[in-house]
Formats: sequence, C-alpha cells, structure tokens
Amino acid sequence: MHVEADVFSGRPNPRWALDAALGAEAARRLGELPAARPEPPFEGLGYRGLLLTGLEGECPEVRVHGGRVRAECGGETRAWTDPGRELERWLLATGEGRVEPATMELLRSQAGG
Amino acid sequence: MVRVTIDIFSGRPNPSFLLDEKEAREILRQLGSTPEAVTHEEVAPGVLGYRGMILELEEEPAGKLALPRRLRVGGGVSRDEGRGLELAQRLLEKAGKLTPAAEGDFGKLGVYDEAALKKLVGEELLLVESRNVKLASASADPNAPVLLLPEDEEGSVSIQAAAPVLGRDASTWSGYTVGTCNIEASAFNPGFWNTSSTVRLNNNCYNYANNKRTDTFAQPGRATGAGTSTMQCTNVGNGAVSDGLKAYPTCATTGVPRYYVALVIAPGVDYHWYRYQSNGYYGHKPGQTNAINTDNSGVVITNPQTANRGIYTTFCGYYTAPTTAQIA
Repeated sequence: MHVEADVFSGRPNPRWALDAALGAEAARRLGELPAARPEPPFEGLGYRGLLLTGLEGECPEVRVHGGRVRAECGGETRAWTDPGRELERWLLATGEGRVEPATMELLRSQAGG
Repeated sequence: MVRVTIDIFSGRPNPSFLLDEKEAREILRQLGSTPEAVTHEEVAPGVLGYRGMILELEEEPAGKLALPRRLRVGGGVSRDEGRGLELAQRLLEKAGKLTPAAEGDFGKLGVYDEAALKKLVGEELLLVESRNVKLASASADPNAPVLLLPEDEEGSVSIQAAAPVLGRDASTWSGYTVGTCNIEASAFNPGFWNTSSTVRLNNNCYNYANNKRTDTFAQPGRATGAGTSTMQCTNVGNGAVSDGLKAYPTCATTGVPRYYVALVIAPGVDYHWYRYQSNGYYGHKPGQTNAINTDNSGVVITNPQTANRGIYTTFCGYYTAPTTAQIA
C-alpha cells in the first residue's frame, strides 16, 4: 500500500510505502467513514489530496482531500466524509521523515495540519 | 498470453519467455492498476546493458486496461520506477525457459545460461534502482527519505537520452508575432492528454508546454544534462534552455511550430508551464491531472501573470519552445 501526495505539476509527486501495520490501520480507518455523495475532485494547481493505493477489494485507490474521500470502485464512483480531516492528517503524518522538508511543510499547510 | 522480453543485449538476440495463464492475468491486473510504472516500448533508457522488460499484450486485454500492446516496465524511465522495478523483479522470478525474442537461427547465441542471465538481470535491477530513482518501496527501508529527482553522487541530475515523441495534440497551427518573435499556436485539444490514463498519468506540464507526449513525465534539462532539483526560475529555466527552448525576448528562429510558453515556480518545491493556444487563451496540464484552460478560480487563462496559480506564486517569464527541443 502506498500514499501519494498529489501536489506537483512538474516534478513527480512524493510517494511512500505503508508497512503492513500502517496499511491495516489505514484500511480500518477507511472502513469506519460514513458514506457521502460524490463530488468532482479538484484538478487545478497545488495540493489535490492524498492518494492511497494498493487497497484490496473493489476500490484499489482512494483520494482523500478536504474532508472528503472519493474512489472509483468497479466503474462506480463512491464517496465518504472524513470528519475533521482526521484520516487525511493521519495519512500525511505517515510521511514524516520520508518527504523533503519544504514539501512536507507545504503539505501540512494544505492538509489542515 | 503474454510474452516477456528482457531488453539487455546489443549484439545477441534478447531472451524472452512466456507467462502462464495465471501469472499473465495477475501481471496484467497489476499493470492496469499502476499505469505510471509503464511506458510505451519505444521509451527506453539510452544505455548499454539492461533496459527493462518488454511485454507484448494481446489486443483485448491491452484495450480493456488502456495499456500499450507493447510496453516497457522496470527500465528506469517511467514515472514510478519503484513500482516498475517491483514488477520487473516479479517477472524475473517467474521467468521460464528463455528463447530468442527474434526469429532466426542464431546458433549458440540463441542459447542462454538461464541461471547466469537471471543473476545478471537481478544485479542490473539493483543498479537501475540506485542509478535512476530513489523511492521508498515496500521492500526498502520505510523510513528512507524520498528524493524527488534522480541525482548521482555528486548531486547533479542524471542524463537520459531525449525521449521518443509518441504523439502531439495538433498537426496544424497558426502564426503570430510576439514582440520581435514569430511563434505558432495550435488549437486547445485536451482530449489528446486526458482520454487515456497512460497518457494522462505519464505526461506533465512540461510535456504539455512542448506538445510532446513521451510518457516520461519529462523534466527540464534531463535530456541534455542540465536537470535540476533546485526549484527556482533560473535553474528550471536554464534546464529548459538547455533542452532547446529560448527565453523570450530571444526568439527561436527555426523549429516550427514554436510554441509560446510561460514558466512559473512554487518557490523551493515545484515548477509549472503554460502554452498559448490559437483559441486566444493558455492551456496547461497540472501534473498527472487533466489538461485544462482554466486557472484555480475556474477562469479561462488569458494571462498567466494574473491568473490564479495557487502555490506557483513566482512568474518567471515566457519562452518559445521549438519543435526541435529535446525533452526526456
């Protein structure tokens, strides 16, 4: 399982792996989120959320951004709310020490941290 | 059926093997879910020795997964080499009997010492990982910091050969004059960049500005030895000039079409490019997202200097990007 911070335009996005324990915790947190109506994702310049990839099941990748979680699951778009951006902040914290400092500072400022 | 060719030799025919049904289904599933780890076969590192694994897919699964029918993985040139190398390692482990990829009677040159070859390729995979991209992967130290651009030990950026151009979004253009420079502009054609996930995920703002699909997530200066990890106007701009762009008011006098492009910077973290379109506005492609003609406020961009650019607060200047520019 990997987390990718979808933030850059020119350079490749920062990306880091979650070990088994963190991956299990990420899946657990996702599983507890309440369902919501899907909204179109932001596609402009700057921070566009955290992509969690390598998930098992119908939704192999989810985008966590601004209190919402969105995924394409077998041709269907699904969404959940992320109250207080808790999941987003937790996922970002797993990147501490694994993303260059200037970028991490930017991500923290954008992810409500 | 999936045939895998290990692209490694220069004189001898490359060795190839077939994946069994079960493994072919699994590898296709993984390739389809990580298109950023895949490039078109023609996108190759300009090196002697190991250059990745080439997979030949049948039409139906390739179409269904939006993958090229002949693709390269684990060659050190895709946008996600961490994942690409994992896939290549898996393929190596599953390799069966090796036979020449090309047809013909090659005598002893077509007979492979399979154990020795697999050992060699395994060692080459490690070299690619250390030479090209340092990424945290499932098998590496999870606490290792992520370096976002490839660098050698001296801190300069590695050179890749200019990447083959796999396509452009226009074959016609209109002529204009900006100051003393003659430029050309084509119509905004976002479908070229947005329809295929392979194209969308593997081509960035610099690809878009040059109107060159390479599937390498091109970086200014990487093709010509002037790449940089310093995200400031001078450094990124110098990389682009090294590739063949001209910093306005210097004009490109050859290489039609010569696109009019603008460079902006998120100081210390990233860069972004815009391209002037014949429709009278600017198009751009924020990273792996869709090509669009609007800014962060949803307003059509008629002036990059005054558009809402989000974190890209520094406007560096305009350039002309002739078709002769080389990017990678």
